[in-house]
Amino acid sequence: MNPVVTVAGLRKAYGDVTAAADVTFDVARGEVFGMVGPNGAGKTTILECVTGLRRPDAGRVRVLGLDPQRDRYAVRERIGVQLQAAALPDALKVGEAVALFASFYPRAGNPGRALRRVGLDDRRRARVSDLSGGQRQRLFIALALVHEPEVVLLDELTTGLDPQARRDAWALVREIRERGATVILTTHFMEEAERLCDRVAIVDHGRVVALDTVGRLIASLGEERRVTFVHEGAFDEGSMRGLPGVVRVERLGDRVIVSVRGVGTAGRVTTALEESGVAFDELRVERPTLEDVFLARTGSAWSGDGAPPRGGARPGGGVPDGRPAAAPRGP
Amino acid sequence: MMRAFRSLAWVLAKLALREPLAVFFTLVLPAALVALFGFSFGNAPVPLQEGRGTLDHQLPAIAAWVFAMTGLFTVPMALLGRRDAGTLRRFQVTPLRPTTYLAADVVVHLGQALLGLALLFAVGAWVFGARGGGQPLAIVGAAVLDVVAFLAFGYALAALLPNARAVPVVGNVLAVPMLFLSGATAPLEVMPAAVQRSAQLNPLYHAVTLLRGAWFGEPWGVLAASAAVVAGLLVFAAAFAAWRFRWDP
Repeated sequence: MNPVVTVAGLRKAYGDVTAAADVTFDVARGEVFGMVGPNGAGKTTILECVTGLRRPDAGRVRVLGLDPQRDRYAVRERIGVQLQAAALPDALKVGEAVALFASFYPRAGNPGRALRRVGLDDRRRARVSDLSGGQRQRLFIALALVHEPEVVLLDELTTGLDPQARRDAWALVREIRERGATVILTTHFMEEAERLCDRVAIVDHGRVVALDTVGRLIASLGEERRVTFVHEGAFDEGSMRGLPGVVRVERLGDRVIVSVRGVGTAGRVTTALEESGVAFDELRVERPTLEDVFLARTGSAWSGDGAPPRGGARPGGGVPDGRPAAAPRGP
Repeated sequence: MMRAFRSLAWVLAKLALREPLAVFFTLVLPAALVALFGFSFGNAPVPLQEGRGTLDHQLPAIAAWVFAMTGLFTVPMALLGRRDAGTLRRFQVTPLRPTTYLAADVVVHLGQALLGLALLFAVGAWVFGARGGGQPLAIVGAAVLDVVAFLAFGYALAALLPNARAVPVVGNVLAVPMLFLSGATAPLEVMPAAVQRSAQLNPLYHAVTLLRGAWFGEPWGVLAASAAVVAGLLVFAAAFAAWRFRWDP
């Protein structure tokens, strides 16, 4: 089957900073494809090259068989985009925004239906400035869907949203997919990628370090488990590293993460911990997640750039050229 | 394309009217200044101004407020505000052509400025009986040329400035001398000769001179120099804006 989006050997640098280095992937029709990675990994740059907003330094990008640079308007008629750093004028009303965007497309959809789909039809007369963060994000989804696009690109859709708004956004993504559109999204929440995506590309420092289904990525770690605990006072990591079956020992502040493999290893770690006399708390044994895949493939902790390890609501950090990601909302 | 233009122009017009400061400075303030002049000085003939009434003479100078507010504040604020916020980026990933956006933006700002001028002249003529005696078509032509030149000035400023926060700073620095040296604050005829000479360097002075000439029905030959300065501003500013403007911050 022909891929809907093809990216081959994509390279993009801003001065000395390489935002994308030899990025290659295909996206099949109807799938939800996720790019995950920490802030500044290059996800937004890759997405912007797919939309045609940025011209790649090298490599090939095709969207529905078209070149987003050469055939930019033909591509833009058939894709729907939600950008990370894009705000609407505060004084614009919800209904006006959707009608305006509908008028940009030759195959104009139905503005009212787009608002109903995202549950904003009762806010039609509200100004953009009066919307909550979640409602604003739903409006941006409505704008991306108003012309029934074949490919939907969502950049950091849920960054800054509270948990309920995040779940609402996830439900919308699943609904887009059920209607047959292809979805490409970026996120720095591993949990979001695990829940939404058919396939995931893990991006770090402008490179795709892993690409597969979530299940296969996690299975690639083998039967790895994580034993985590918080310790008080002195703790010698070396004593853990020496145990048979222990793969890695990492620290996040006073939390220790011991990755183990093999039957009975988790038990040996907890026994060793108790016998060592170290005061500890919050002992847990976890199945591996995408975070562990990231750790294994990049050798660096997920929170290495200061992002919360999971579920935090820090606004997205932006692409490596230093452009602020949290958009100021202007007149 | 026409559908996008119409709906964008309609939305931009509504947004313009929801911007209280811009509405005040381009629509309310100039008409209010005419009333202030009218009530303060009446429209008695003044020898210094070739025997014409104070208000007859001063109406085209007050129009300078509309040109200056449009070019120095309204146009760059709206454009850079939308650029900073990422609205222009969002438009860029739709099939909307940049030229369609610009056309709608120009039409709305032009309409707003011409409305401000119409109010100003209406208050002058109907409330205080100001008369110029020029051809209506020539007056409208001069007004449109002036406004379009200062629109281009506004787009050039937007191309030059880093962000919307810089607009009030630069706008105020430019507005004060430009308005003073155009006769918009007080008639230039009462100023020292040196001040009157330096006014020749002020494009806003030439915009006023052109409009005043059309308002009084002076022959185009007399106005050719000022018309050339205004047209030159238009061409230069438009070329600069087209050359340097970026859609991304």
